[in-house]
Amino acid sequence: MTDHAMHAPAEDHGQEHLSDATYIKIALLLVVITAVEVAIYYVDWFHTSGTLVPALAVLSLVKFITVISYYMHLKVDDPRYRYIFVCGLILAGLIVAALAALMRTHKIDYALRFITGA
Amino acid sequence: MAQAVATLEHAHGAGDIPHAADHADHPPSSTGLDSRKLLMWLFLASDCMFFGSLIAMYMIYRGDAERMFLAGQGAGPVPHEILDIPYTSISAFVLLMSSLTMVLALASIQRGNHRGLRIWLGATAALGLVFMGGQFYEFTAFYHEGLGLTTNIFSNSFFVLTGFHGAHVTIGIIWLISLVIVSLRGGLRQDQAMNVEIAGLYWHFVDIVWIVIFTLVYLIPYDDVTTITEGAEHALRFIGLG
Amino acid sequence: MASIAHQPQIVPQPVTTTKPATGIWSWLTTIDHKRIGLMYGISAFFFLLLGGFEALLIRAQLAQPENDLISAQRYNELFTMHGTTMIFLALMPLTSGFFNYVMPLQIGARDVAFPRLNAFSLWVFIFGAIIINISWFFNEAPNQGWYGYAPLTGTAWSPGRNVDFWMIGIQVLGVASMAASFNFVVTIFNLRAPGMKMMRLPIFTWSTLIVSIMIIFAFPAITVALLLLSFDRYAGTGFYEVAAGGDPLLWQHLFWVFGHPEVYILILPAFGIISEIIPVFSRKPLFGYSVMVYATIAIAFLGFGVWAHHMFTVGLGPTANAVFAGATMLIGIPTGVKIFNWVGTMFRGSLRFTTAMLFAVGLVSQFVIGGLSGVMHAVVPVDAQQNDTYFIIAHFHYVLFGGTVFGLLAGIYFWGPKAFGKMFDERIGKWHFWLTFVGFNLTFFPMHFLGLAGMPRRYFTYAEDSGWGPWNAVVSFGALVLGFSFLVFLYNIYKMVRHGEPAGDDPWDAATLEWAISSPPPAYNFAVIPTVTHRDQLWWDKYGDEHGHAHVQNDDVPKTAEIQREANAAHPHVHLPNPSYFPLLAAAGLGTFALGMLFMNPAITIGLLHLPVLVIVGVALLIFSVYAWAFEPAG
Repeated sequence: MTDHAMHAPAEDHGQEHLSDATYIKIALLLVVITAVEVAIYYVDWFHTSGTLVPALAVLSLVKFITVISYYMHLKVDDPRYRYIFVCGLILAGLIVAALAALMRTHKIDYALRFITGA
Repeated sequence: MAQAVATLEHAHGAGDIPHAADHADHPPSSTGLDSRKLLMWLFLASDCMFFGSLIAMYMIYRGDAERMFLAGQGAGPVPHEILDIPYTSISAFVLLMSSLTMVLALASIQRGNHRGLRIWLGATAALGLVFMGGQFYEFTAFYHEGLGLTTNIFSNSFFVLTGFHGAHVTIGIIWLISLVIVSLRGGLRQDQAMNVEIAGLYWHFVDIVWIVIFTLVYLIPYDDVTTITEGAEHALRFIGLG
Repeated sequence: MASIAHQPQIVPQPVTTTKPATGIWSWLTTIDHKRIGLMYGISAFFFLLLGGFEALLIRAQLAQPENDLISAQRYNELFTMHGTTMIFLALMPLTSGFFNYVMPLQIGARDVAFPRLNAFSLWVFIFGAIIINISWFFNEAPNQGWYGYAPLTGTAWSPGRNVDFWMIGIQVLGVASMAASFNFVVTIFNLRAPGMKMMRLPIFTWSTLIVSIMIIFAFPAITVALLLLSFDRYAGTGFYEVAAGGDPLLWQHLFWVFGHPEVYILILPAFGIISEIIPVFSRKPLFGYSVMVYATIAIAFLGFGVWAHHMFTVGLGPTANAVFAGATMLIGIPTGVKIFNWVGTMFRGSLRFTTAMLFAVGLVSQFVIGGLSGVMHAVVPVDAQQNDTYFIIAHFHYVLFGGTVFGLLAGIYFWGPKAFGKMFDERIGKWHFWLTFVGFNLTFFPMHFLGLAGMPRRYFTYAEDSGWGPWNAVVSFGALVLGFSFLVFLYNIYKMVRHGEPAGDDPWDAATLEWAISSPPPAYNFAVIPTVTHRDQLWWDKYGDEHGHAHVQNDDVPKTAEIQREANAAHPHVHLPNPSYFPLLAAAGLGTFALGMLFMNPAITIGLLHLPVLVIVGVALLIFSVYAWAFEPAG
């Protein structure tokens, strides 16, 4: 817990040590990933094999992490910003997942009663 | 609304201490972290919950309109008939590019390049406006195709989710334009780059929300969602009866 | 959490000068955390009395079977407004008052990190409170229950504006709570005095931090729930309408994702308050400080994972019920740890039963009862029997009254002398405590019996042959005693303000920094920013250890209180930020906008858009004041 205590800087410089060229390369990467996402949507194999949704999920996750790491500087900035944001992100993610799962079983439950006539 | 107002508040009201800032833009603190930047990160963490709740709502109702349509009960157009993936891909591209211009604006002011700052901030705002124009056109087109806000559960959840994202973008655009004006009047010095950085954090956040929405709303297909019967069978197996 | 134990290095302070101004304008434009805290406290206390009055009317109606004192409709309004008022307008803002007043003093700061945002929070709260309560004057008070279950809140079942007043009022209050919480978190992270490490923070400040973080994460859920409801009611969408493909269960989920953390948002501040009081009046440091901190964090974390225990009777299925039942029981562990820590603190201490201490000990005992009945309905089948009966009412009043209100009253007796510079009359205080204690138990304990006997909540009357009459008479009598105890309290406040003995800087021989400065504190709080070397700093100063009862006087270390006194005597020129009326104006803009959503005419119609004039005025005012605020020099 006290790891960062010792180097507490008096000023927050935002620590951007990335060059414009890096930013442009990252933008290219993001564009390529987006293009791939859209492209695989039009490939039938992904639909029939059931790999489309996992592939899209992974690709957008990569985009998401790239933007927060580089454009929002979480990778190079003070780690405490990262903790704050990731806490919110994880909490939100867990609650979204739980809500979706709970509501889904609820709907299925209704359908089940409908089918079984209960 | 709460979020939107809170955003504005934090956007502009966040600088209460800073007249220390007339001398140094980063008031020192117990943690060494800038108070306003900390505030923005806390706000973004909180905004994750805001969009998380909206996204949960969308996921819950996702596909319901299609199912009702298949059962012959649905009203109005359903997602697979109306969503235009190539068109929205361009919107997504535009917003991604605006993140690039935003980060270049920040890099400019940190180097003391005020002209660069204004150009890149202006470009970011312009790209944001293109995105909003795209959303406006999309909404209007849907409306003319018979999909209004109240048409079916798909339109309810679609317009509200993407609409609140659009509201966030709009606030961002206003903020960016305000920064350009302040800079033109000489009010943004190199040591005040934090003002740009905080706006940038907000802007990139809006971008990552769109990354999620683009995948969830547009790309993940609606036609292979499990039907109700299949779901019920799953559930039976899950509780050990199937 | 791992990130927050940092060596504070330099402390930023709003700097500039000022004498305490007087007059109403100085209060409207103040950005002093102490004045804001007092205004929070006073307005919230008013709503506490109002909510109590509503409760007395409810009890008058239920005092005997088949009573017709109050109509069924009016009764619905009363219990809805009682719950809404107590939670959002009384308890939360009262805790916020304590956060505002005490926390910056405890960390050795001159104000919060964003003083104008703080004033904005206060005014938004006041506008939100007014919006909800003006519904009485239109005879359209909210009548759907404080948790507003769909589809009852839909236009089909609630065509009037009753629900709208509630929905919009809560939304506005949410803005206030969120803005205040962001501010507190940044303040605690960034404005600590040199040496005030995270693990030296007073426990009350820890509670402030944890509660603020919970508000930050919990309120967005209800914001979204209310937004969807607004769309259903105003725009005709069907998020909660089964016929339109929606699902009312979504409301329940979103509401309780917020609602359960809210319960801890209400109780943790009271825990924090008594964690300051019990050590002082036991003359012993808090037993298990770090465990207390971790227990608070654990409660906060688990508090987000138990919401569905409010929904056991919905039929979520055995898996979901089991998971949420288990998580709910888990919360009993850190809560129990706290109880043991308080008892451990008192154990072999030299106890002084002042009124503040009595209320604190009262909390420990009464909260345990509420906590135990809480664990009872964590058990799903038991909950199925108790759900929607008076047993539940008994449970949560033991938690929120026996817990939160006792804690807040303890806090008023403890910090009142600091804020007003005068002592309460301890003899009347003890009368107040015992009347509250007896009245409280007379009111709420029999509700357990009524609940188990099957009396449902929210019914405006009951039949003669139900057999519930006698206990209801007892409950209503208890409510009268409780009401009377508040009159005694009011008298005691009056007496303190008019004739109280001077309090001096440190009337309780306490341990935290706020007692090192004068009572009431100067506008700038600390003439010089204190340096902290130990937890329970003042005890260290006074007794050479952190234990309050050591006999060693160590005169060779500088004393925080002496340093402050000397610096004050030298008439320090401390620069304070200027007052500002833009926060008030911005809040007024937001309030006007919200009113516009309730009073739709006169309006301007552009195509599909129906824009009430008040909405336009409100938005314009909000935008203007936000810009004016941003460009206003604070120095």
